[in-house]
Amino acid sequence: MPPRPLTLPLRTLLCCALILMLFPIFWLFMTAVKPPTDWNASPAIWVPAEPTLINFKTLFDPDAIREYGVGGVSRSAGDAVFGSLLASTVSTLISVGAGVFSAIGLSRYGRGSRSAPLVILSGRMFPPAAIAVPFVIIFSLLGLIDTYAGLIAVYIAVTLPFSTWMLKSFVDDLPREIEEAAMLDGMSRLKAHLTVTIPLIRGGLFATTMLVFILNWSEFMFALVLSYSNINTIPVQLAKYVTATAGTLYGVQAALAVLAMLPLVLGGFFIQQHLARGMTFGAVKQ
Amino acid sequence: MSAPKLEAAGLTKIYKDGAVVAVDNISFTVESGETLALLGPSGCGKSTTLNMIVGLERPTSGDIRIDGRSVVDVPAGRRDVGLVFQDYAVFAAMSVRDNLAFGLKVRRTDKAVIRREVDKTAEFLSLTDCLDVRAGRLSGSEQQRVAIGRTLVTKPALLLLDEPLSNLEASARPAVRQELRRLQQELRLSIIYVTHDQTEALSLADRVAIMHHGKIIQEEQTLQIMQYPGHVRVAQFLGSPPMNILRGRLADAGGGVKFTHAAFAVLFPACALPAGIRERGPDKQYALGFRAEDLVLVPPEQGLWQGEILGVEIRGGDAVVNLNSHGSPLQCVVEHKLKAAPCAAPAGTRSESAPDLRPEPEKEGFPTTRRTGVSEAVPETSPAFDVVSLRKGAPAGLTLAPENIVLFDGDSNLRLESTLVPVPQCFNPQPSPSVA
Amino acid sequence: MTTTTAGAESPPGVPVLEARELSKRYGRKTALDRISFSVPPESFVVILGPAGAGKTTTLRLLAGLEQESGGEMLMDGRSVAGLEPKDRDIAMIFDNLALYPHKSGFQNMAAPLLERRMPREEIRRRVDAVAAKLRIAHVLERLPKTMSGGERQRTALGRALVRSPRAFLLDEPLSSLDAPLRFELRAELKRLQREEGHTFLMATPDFTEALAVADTVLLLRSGKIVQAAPPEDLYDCPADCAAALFVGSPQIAVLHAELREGLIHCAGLALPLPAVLEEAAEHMRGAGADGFLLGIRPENVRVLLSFPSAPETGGQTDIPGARRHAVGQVTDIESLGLRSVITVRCGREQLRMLCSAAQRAQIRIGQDLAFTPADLERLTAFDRRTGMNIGRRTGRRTFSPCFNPQ
Repeated sequence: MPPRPLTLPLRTLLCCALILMLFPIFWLFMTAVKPPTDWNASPAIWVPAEPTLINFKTLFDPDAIREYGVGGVSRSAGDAVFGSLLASTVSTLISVGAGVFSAIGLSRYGRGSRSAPLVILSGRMFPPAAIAVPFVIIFSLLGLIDTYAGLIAVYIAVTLPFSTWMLKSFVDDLPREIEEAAMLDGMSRLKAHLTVTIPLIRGGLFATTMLVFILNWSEFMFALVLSYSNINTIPVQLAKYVTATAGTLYGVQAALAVLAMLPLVLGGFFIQQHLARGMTFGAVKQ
Repeated sequence: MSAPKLEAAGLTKIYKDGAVVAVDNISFTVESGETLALLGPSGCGKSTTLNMIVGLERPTSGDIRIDGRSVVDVPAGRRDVGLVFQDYAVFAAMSVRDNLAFGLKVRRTDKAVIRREVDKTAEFLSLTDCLDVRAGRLSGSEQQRVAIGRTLVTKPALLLLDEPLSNLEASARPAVRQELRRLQQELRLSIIYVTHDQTEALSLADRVAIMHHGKIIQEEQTLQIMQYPGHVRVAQFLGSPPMNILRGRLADAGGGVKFTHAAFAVLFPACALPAGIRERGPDKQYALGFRAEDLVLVPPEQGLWQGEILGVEIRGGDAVVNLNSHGSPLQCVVEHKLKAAPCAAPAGTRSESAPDLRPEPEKEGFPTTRRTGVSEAVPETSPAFDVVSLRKGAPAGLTLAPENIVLFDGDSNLRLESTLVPVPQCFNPQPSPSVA
Repeated sequence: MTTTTAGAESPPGVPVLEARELSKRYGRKTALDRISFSVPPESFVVILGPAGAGKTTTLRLLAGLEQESGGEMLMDGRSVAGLEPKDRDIAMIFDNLALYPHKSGFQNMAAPLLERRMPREEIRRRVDAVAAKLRIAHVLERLPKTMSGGERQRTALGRALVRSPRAFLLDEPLSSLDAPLRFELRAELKRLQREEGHTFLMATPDFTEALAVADTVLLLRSGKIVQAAPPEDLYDCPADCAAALFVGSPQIAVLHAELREGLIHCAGLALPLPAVLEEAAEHMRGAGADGFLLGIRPENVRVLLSFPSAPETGGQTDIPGARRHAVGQVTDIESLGLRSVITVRCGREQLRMLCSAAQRAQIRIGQDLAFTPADLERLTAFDRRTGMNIGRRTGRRTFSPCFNPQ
């Protein structure tokens, strides 16, 4: 059926929705380039008269903001950016890498228990607050508190069920006959999965990677309770821009948030082409 | 006689700015109480036609009238047509009663009326016992009945069925076809039946319109269409096996014209000449069509001409023999005859010997060009061929019962007018060739 | 071509594939129950059965894609227990074809050869030869999604053919194609068996397909082989009542009949006992019963437009008491094109019969119609309780020319 032409009321409705969704992002970008005087101004200043990069400078040189007479954070955001990149990338790669094999295992060979996937997913059902404290206790016994290894381990533990579950649905969608045909063509099971199954769920693999990365990148609670001074992440750093003298440093926060958006936006653009549906169209009869 | 129930005039649907002509200027009518089948292979435009009638798509040009009133600008919900989808589209989570009542509830019909109509429809479709069962738990053919019933309660002027049997298991289809025929007869519904299955079209429709590449290439009474295909494509589409088609030229011959193909010829007496031939002149391309049932397999030396057996496909009571006759593929139907003598060979072991066509002892006196009537169709004394001996590579004699020969224009593929009365004669133009 | 005529690798008489007491259980459910069969070299064996009968399971066990729960499978007389699919030298064409969606027609067909490390030129040569034979040379550079249904089907077939395996397993390979294409590919498969000496084992729920191509049909029902017979025997001498109903369209009529004083009484008929049912009579005498089920195929019932005044005896004096024709009420007429199926109700019994278009024009629903069984030797008898065929179990069929009854 052909798409219905957009009528005027429908267009108006869509425009409203768009504005509602984009306004916070607009506000974020504007705040990031506002001088401290404009942050809390009333009435609100929508677009700063004199855009400035001072907030971005302050991220890596905490003293820069003092020329406006505000200050209070002594630590550069550099290690937070590094920490976030390290912890998120490594944990995402491991989580998805392990997830794809457990997904294939569950989907193709896991006929033993039909509830296995559900059991795995139930790991995700505990609220992070409930498992944060046990983690702190166990990790302090193991000496993993305040280390990247510890943070990465937690991230893997939390996202692996999710990536397994999500990838399993993509493997389930792929007719098993395609890889069985490969086996009959002369491939071993492992080779058939590596050269047939995985390339064919590429779209799902990228989507899962992206989602798991976003989860890890924006994770706050575990990073907060497991870090003291050696490790830092962007969400934790964001929370530190609250000073006794000047209140919340909204502009600096916004600047860090803008930086934090960058990898996600870039990643989104990169995987967009791989997210196209219908990868397997034509392989099997519909 | 009032206006036809449905009238489609010059209906055309063009997609992608003229790039794809899905339906190309077709016109047809459905009279009140009549069933018209739109028959054609997938992609021939029949579903698009249906969608335009229902109102799911807007025709590029042309008009659709229901009861004489144009409905092109009427939205789908108000056209008074009922559509039964291929995949039933019943509400699986609802009870059968709620499914049946759905259409009336949407129309805010009075509760008592709904109850009465639902009960009546359910009884008619033998669904009374499962009225309170969830529709999703029913079998395929029961869901099909629910889907039809849901449409019927609203009493549409026109019922459209879109491949209603194609999702059913093959073994359930004959019973559902019979059910649908009962429905037609008792309710005298006006129906458009869209299908790619000729069995369904032939067994359910009063008239059949055959579609090909967006056009209707023939519209004909169901009982006529097999015997008088109007187009070579129809001849090759209908029937299993379809009609044999031989292409060749005509030549003048004493008192008529002669169609010659490799080893045999058909003489059309002058008085039997289709009008088209006299106008076109004989030196054009023609196509001769005859049913596989009219081609007669005989022992090699008794045939008008010879062919080579390529294979035998058993169908049940009869079998289709594939032949190669001087480069042309031909198909012939032979009927089943069980030998009276008991069989010694146990199941599973088949004679690999005797790759020849053995005429049975009682073949003496087999008439080669007998005109057969009904009573002689399967005479008790007719020769019988051992199916095991009808093997690949064996030579076979062929004769043709000429009553139902059809002649087509070789260029336009259209049938040349007039039935051939008196019947043409088949003969072998070469003086008795020996078996190749 | 390397389509070395199959059979060269094994001594004559040793089946290419053999199953002995093969079983498969999924949890508590039994999918296959100790089935035994063999596929001789260069033969075309068809597993026929309704959905869920275990057809696909049988093929998957043979291919090594599933683990058997019991029994034994042999290839060329050697057990294949524990062999991985890649080591079984079997090609399987799945019902959904399972082409590589991201690879071209050529790459799809070359895949099994690449896996065997064949030199490039040899691969090119073989794929081109098979593609030419299957008339798909024009799709070699295209992805499966741009091919038509028939082209995909042929590509899948080509992928199996390039390596000339010992046996082809086909799982409903033609089920989703339009009728003309189905007939064409069916003939193609048959030709490959006949001319190239390939061995086929095909699963299908469609009896017309099975009858058309099979040398032997294995009728499978609920995981058990009900009958293994050549197609004409399956049709003429079905193992039981359900098999008779499953094979043949229009369906066989099964009537309640009684044997009294040497005559078969059913639906108003009193027929002399034909030779083919003498065993059935014997059986009933042994069991002390005289009721049984009589199967009559629709093509074996003739419509009599005028009620015959004298009994149809073919000019001979008939057995006293015999009534070879009966009258019933027409309840349904179904056109099949050249012929029509008339359904007639006789008391509680229903019969179907075939008639010509000319006869059909004179028949109305609701009228009384006389009919007569044409050939008593083609009747079938089934036990009333078990449904087993109690008449002669093997037939021998001949064919006679078919004249279009006009």
